[in-house]
Amino acid sequence: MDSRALFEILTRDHIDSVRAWLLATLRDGAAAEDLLQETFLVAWRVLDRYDRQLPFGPWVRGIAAKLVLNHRRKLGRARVHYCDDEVLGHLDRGFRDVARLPGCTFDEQLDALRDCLSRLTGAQRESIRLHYEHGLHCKEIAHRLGIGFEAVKKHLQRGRALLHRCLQTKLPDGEPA
Amino acid sequence: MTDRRDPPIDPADEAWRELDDTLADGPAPAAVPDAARRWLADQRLLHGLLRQLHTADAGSREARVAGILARIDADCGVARRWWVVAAAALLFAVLGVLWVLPAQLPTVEAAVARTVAELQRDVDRRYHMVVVTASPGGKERRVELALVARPGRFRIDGRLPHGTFAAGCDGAEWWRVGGQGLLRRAGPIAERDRAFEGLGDLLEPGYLDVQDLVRRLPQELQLRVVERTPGARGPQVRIEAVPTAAAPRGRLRAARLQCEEATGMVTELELDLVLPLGATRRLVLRYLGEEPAGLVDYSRPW
Repeated sequence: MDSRALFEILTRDHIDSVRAWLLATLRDGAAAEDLLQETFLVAWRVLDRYDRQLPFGPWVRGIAAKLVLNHRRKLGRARVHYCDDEVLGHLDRGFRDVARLPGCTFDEQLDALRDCLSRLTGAQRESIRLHYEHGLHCKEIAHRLGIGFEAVKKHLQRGRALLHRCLQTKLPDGEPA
Repeated sequence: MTDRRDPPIDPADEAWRELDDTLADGPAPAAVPDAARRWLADQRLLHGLLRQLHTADAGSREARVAGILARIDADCGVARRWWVVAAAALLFAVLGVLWVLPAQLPTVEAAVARTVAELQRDVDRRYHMVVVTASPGGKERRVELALVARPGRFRIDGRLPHGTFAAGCDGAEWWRVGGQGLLRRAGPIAERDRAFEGLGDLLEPGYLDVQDLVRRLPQELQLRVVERTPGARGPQVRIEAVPTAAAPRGRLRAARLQCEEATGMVTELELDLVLPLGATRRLVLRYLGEEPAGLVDYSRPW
């Protein structure tokens, strides 16, 4: 198989997980789309440095991390969520765990998250639905639910923490890597 | 993900909550305590997964892959023509010409993502809509309508050949009134397509949901950003869409979008459609601006 054909397969396999990684790191969805394309272009240009014995996901996320840090240096802290090596390292371990969830594709692995979402209840479920599904800001959610801004943040953060715990239970051995 | 053998971290910790910049508009914190880093990373992991879960679809995914592969192929072409580039660089150096290159156009994926995100904002937007339907014999019917829409709601007012017409959807039910106010119909939102029954196929509700329309374009057509032009509110980018060679030929044959580069807002949208029996239709939507909050009533007027 030539490099171009191999790279196309790798791109299809990993584009969703790299996009999710960028969306976890950048505020602006459009900037994430730009860096997503840039990440795979850089990966293509340095493909000869990729050790085919190792998983491609962490390697390509490493390229994305470098681009994000450059992006942050150029545009400042307002455009990129907090980044340091340790946080990026934890984040990468989280994505390695997601890769161990049942499913052949990233989207199938996200079925575990879909199931966890269906188990959320009350204001946490509603806040997460309004924020992520409908794109509402915390202030708009607070207005809609008739609660305070800080309460919405708390519901979102607790909801995400519960989803995180739920995902852990779905790992093959029930334990993170 | 957090190791379960670690001591539990209280996600409700007030100090850490403020460090979570995924939910705030301000800049990211300059530094975070060591103990908060793992909690922060876990929050961000779920933030990214949830954003991906709710913004991913097969069509846009394929468009992204195609965009990357096209740029790779173009890259390879450039590499093969290295001597052309080298000669051009030498020529520029010799002539000493100062070339001021225009800023790079955004990728079409970025432009569409920005537009979809902007249209998702829960505000009332006013548009002027013109629908021109041409029969195979060349006879044209032109309808002009005023459209106000926000996610999940719309209201249109206009004049059709048989009199004034208004229709809307308030998020719970659809309604329509015509015939000088005498013909009134309403129903549950699940049946909102019925709001346009009997109008001689002049209107289709699918064209009133601008966000959904833009979101679906990459699935039906091949998009490209063709130019950047100055506008009253900053630079605008023009996106053109044509059917892909491989895609089945649907009713939508071409689309042109004019968007504000900074916000992604669509200022003009043109769609070309083919209808049964050789008729064609052009739909032009011009954005007129946001309405002040609370002024638009989407509920049925009776």
